[in-house]
Amino acid sequence: MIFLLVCYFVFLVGFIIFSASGLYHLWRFGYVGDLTKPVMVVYIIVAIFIIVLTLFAISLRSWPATIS
Amino acid sequence: MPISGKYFPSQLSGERVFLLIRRHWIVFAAMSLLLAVLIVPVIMLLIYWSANPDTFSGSLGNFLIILSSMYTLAVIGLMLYGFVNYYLDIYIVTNKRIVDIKQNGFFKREIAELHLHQIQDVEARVDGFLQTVIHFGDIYIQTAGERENFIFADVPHPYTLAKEIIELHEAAIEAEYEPQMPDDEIKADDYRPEDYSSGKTTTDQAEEQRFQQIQSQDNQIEDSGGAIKELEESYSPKDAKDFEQQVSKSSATSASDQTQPEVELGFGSHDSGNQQKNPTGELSEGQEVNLNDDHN
Repeated sequence: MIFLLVCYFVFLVGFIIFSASGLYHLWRFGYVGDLTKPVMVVYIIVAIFIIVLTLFAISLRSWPATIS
Repeated sequence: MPISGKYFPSQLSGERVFLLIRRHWIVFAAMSLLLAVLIVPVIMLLIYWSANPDTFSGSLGNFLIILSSMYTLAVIGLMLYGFVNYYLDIYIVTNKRIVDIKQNGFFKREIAELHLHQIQDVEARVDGFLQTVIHFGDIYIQTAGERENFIFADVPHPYTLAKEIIELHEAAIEAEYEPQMPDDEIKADDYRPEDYSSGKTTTDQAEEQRFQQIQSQDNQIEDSGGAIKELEESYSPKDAKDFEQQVSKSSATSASDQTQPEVELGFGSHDSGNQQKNPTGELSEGQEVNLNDDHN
């Protein structure tokens, strides 16, 4: 089970890097008055919500070293 | 109607943006719908789990939590990728050129430019049931020479856009053979507010200077006329009266002695003063001289 947690945190690191590159493109190549800023805000809020909910669920459960 | 302000980084001074075109929203909606369908199993799992919390206990529950979280984050990451790919594909039409910006995923961007006078032909195509009903299609812009044709793919109202591009192309050709408007030639570095604060142009200022020169010359002429006026005013009515008396005397003497000289006219108060009789015995005008008088 610990292995699953490690995989999840590695995935989180990759997801954060991927999201940062996408948000950087929207921030740099967007124009005044378009949808890039609202989409950036919505995406960050949704992603943080999912990650926080998952971490909350992980904290509530027990994670043994082996799979039972 | 042109879009005001600098709308993209390489926009030139005096260049006005007339069209900023993106692909039709239906293109992104189709992709979003597919991704939304992928989210549905996770939502159903959460609903079932909340209704039956004891179903997924132990390691199975831990595994499902990790897997569903990773799956959901991957789906929204794909949505972000698709949005960047769709929304940053832009076609810009200005009064001088066409700019085609294509974003292919992350870290791959292509920008192509075409001057309006290089356009040979503009063709709008609407092909398919969905395109006909929702009014979107492709625009093919044929260019001169060996350049590839520009393609505006899946743009809304292609017939209207093609017509506007043709009109801008014709206006660009006409502008190329006509003198530029003054406001296009004015650059930010050349602008001086004091020249335009009074609302006058340089031509008006030159004319005003000429007018002032003429006016000063007129003033000089008026000044010389004033000198003449002063001279006339110095001739007082008393002088006029003396003159009349002199004239009457001369007319009286001329009747008796034709050889008498004419009366000398004098102007000014100093002359009339000399004609008056001096109490010391000096001769007045018209008085005969007696050489035998003994003045002792």
